[in-house]
Amino acid sequence: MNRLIILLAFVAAVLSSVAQVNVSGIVVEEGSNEPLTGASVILRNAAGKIKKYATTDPGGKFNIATSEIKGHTLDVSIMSFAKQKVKLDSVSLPLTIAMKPEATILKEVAVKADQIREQGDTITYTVGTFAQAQDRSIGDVLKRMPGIDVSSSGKIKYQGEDINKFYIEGSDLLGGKYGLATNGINHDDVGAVEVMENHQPMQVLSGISFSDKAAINLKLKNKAKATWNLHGDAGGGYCWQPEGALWDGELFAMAVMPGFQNITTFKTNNTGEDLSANTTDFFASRRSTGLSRYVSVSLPGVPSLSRKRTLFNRSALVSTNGLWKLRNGEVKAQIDYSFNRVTARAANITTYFLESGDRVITENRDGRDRSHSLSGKFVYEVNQKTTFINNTLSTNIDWDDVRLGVTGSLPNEQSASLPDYFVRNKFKMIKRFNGRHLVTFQSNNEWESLPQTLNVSVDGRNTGQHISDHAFYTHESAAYAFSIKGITVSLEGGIKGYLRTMKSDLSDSSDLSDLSDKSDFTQVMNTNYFTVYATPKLEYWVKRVNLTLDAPVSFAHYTFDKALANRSEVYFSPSMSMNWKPNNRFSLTLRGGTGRSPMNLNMIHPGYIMTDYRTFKHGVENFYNSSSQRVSATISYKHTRRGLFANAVVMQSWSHLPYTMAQQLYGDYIAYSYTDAKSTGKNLMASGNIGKTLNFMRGSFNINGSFSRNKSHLFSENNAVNSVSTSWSTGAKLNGAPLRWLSFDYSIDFSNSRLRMNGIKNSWLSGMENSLLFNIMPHAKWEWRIMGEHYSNELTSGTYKNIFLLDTKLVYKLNKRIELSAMLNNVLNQRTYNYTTYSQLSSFESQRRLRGRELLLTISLRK
Amino acid sequence: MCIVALGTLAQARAEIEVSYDYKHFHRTGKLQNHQMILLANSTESKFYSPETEYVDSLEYTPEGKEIYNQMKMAAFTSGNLKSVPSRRVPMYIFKSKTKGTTEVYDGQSLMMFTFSEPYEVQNWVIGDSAKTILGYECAMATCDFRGRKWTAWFAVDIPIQDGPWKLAGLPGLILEASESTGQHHFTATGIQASQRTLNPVLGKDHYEKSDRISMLKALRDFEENLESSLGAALGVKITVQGGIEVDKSLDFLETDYR
Repeated sequence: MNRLIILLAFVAAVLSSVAQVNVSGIVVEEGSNEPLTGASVILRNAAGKIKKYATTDPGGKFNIATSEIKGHTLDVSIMSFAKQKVKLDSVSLPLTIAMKPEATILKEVAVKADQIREQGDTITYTVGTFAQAQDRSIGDVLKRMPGIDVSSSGKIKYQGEDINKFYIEGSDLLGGKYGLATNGINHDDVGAVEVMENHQPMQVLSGISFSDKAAINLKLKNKAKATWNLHGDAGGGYCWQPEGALWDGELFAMAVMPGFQNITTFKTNNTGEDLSANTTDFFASRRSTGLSRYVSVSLPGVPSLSRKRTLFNRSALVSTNGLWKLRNGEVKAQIDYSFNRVTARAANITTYFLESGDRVITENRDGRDRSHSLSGKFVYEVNQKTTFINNTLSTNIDWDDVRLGVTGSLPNEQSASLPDYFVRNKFKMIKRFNGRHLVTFQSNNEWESLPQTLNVSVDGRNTGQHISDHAFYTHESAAYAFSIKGITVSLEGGIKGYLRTMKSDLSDSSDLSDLSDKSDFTQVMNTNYFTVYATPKLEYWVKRVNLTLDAPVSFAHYTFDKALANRSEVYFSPSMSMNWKPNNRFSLTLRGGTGRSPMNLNMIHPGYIMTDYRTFKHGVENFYNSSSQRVSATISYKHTRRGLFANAVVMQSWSHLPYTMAQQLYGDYIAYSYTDAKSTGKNLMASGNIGKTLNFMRGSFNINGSFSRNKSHLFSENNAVNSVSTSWSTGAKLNGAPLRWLSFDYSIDFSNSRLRMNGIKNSWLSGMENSLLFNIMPHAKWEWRIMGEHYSNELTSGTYKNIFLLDTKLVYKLNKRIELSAMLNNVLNQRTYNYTTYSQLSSFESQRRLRGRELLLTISLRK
Repeated sequence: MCIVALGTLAQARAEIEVSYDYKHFHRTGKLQNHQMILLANSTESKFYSPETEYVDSLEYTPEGKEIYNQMKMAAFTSGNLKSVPSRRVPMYIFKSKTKGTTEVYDGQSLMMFTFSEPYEVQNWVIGDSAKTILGYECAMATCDFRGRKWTAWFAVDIPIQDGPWKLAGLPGLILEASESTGQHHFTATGIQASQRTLNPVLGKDHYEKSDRISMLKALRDFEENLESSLGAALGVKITVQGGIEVDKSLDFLETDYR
């Protein structure tokens, strides 16, 4: 009986356990009751362990057959809906589960596109993988890309060499003013940066003429194309030194459309940001008018401290740049205007080291520089496989008014008016015939006027230096080239003409009788020349080797309107370069050149010109030629998949001048002149750079070093002074985002320099700069930045001047369009900075003001 | 034009994008690693090699083809052939719960096939082990599938019942999967929300219509007779000195064709 009961109980137990429960139901969207397909349905027991699971079918239905549901729960989840938990003890089946829409928050780990990709000669950097939270412009991100170097002015180098073109979506809108783009374009609008190695911008020359320069192309994201992109900042605040209101504003507009591109920007600030770099033309060729200012009254500057700490400015800039594509070519127009008002105050002690004992001059300088600059550039270009035409008309008008008051050993007031007017038209046409023959015509015409006025008031007596200096230059040339089997032979011939007149006059020289008699202060100089030249060129380019030989020969006739005897000269200055690229990773370039060249014609003036209140310069009274030699080697290596880039450059040059600069003191004045002694200069420069991506923390690393040694020669107080300056520097940069909420930027730079005069060695003087930035993102909407800068500059051997500057910034991202920020600069309110520098024959000790603590509140908007 | 636009509209959008490292052995015994991407929403998914898709997109238009040829020429002259993207893993797997099909594009660069099979999930057994992958707590599950024994790690917190290759059907996204011989291994390396569309294969023309078993047999045949197969595929006679060493113990993801 007992056995039977046990058996029955057992059977009942088995039956009950076998008795299946069908947990079934339907999953729908709350409100609409639309069934949801693909939802995950998990049956868990009381301990939370997964017992069974299912997925909803296209009708939203699910069915889980189970033996037991007591204490069990059903978890239902689907992307973009809030997770549901249903206790099965108290429900009736089948279930209807309504899901509430809710974003599923993923713990994201970025899906990486390859950071750097290489295809042939093009290397593509994915912007998103290099950008950090604190970055704003594309320039900020370019700095982090290994192999690419961006200087503080915005100039870009790739593997140690300046780039030769900067494109936006394949169009060259800005020319050399690409700083506007690097500083202006939001990195979020750029998908990728392409570096095109060995870029030949003129299609007619492709395959014929080698280029060892690289170009950069920004590939915009689709959202940034075919629309106007706008962003702007408006900031206001208060500064503790100089006490007063602060402002900082920017408006940037960009359109990149298939047939039209435009970048227009307006900026203004008084927060120490120098805007002039924004419109610098990095590709600008040297002006052939060759004029340079004699008068040099400049405000005291501070080496080895970042400019934003010491610049007391009011600046504004407007720039508009348009490009229109025509059927065959394109038209570009660029107009820039900038205004800059800078004030500076400094206490200086200048010591001249002389055989007769040191001479000390103390001064307190207080100055103001107001400059306006207006420039326009109009370009028409056709760039096709058989035809290249470019006509560029450019004009620059600058006004620079400087006022500098000095108290101390020689109290005085100086004011200088230094306008500059320049117009240039450049035309170039290249035609390619039968694929192998090239014909080139060029015409370049330039005119420049550089009047200079300097008024000096010492003890109530006024002295005025007036200079008028203008020049016209014209250059016409034709060239023919043909190419067979990798060898290109070309011959260029042309003429150059140059007319220049310089007049200088000193209004009151009565006090300067010990320097010279009156006739020496008034002069009229004409320096004219006519040149005929021919440049044969041979280029050999097969597979991995490119060899170029250049051998320009010219005949020049100089006339000086009776001031000097007319001269005829023949010049020959051959140069060669060789590039070897055994594979895509390694490249070696060797260059060398030698030759004779005419002197700088500015230096010919038989009288004195006052260049500032205590300096007079006397030119040479004869026409001279100089000669020089140079050799250099550049190597570069890259391994894009590993994100490794390295390059090194060594350069040595020699120069031989038949004249030597001499320095003489007359009372409180210094006079510079030239003597007939030979002078030889020697210059050695070496630098290297290694960059590497650090994928584990989305960062990169860079180390660099440089060395230079410069030998020169001059006469001081009739004694020969041979000086050798040696300097070396090394630096490293590290950045990354090791944690989701933290990113950092660190850089260290160390430099050491020494001057040796006539075998007497000064001690090495070092300078070190450390800067560290932390960006903390406690929440998606908040960012907190802390930036510290430490400078340690050696004043005299073993004596260091240390200064630590701290900034902080709080950013609140209201939404994708609006950002609010509060910035506190120089939190510790450091107000002064002292330093000493040594030049060839003097030491200069200075005390400078720093920008004090400043608070700036900014609102940033973007479309 | 209109049809193309409509077609684009009809394409499903992903909700997540997952990147996997696919470590597997080349038949010569060399360990390879390729990035694969899974774009998935609750009902549809696409698993593919971004490099293959890049090449397909290039060859899709005449301009792109020209660029790709230039890239190949540049790489050839500089001797850096590896820098050119190519169809190293020509695999696309489209899983659709709504259509109930799995569309497969597979093979190797010289022999590529496509076929459709019914959408099928593996018969998983959930185990007790747990580990963390990319910050997600993952549970272990095992199954036997077409000749191989798979171990998968899935994240319940990501309610997408999908995974790398044909693996799917667990109550959470599969972030890691390996088979018992160690020849094939998928590990997630990135995960993010995504709105990308599940674009169809652009290089469809490169794939020959077939079925699963015929494809596997053909590929095996090709590899067993590599020299003559290569010769036939490239139209030249190929002799490799000493022959090509092939590790015969290595096999495809599915081994049930033998």
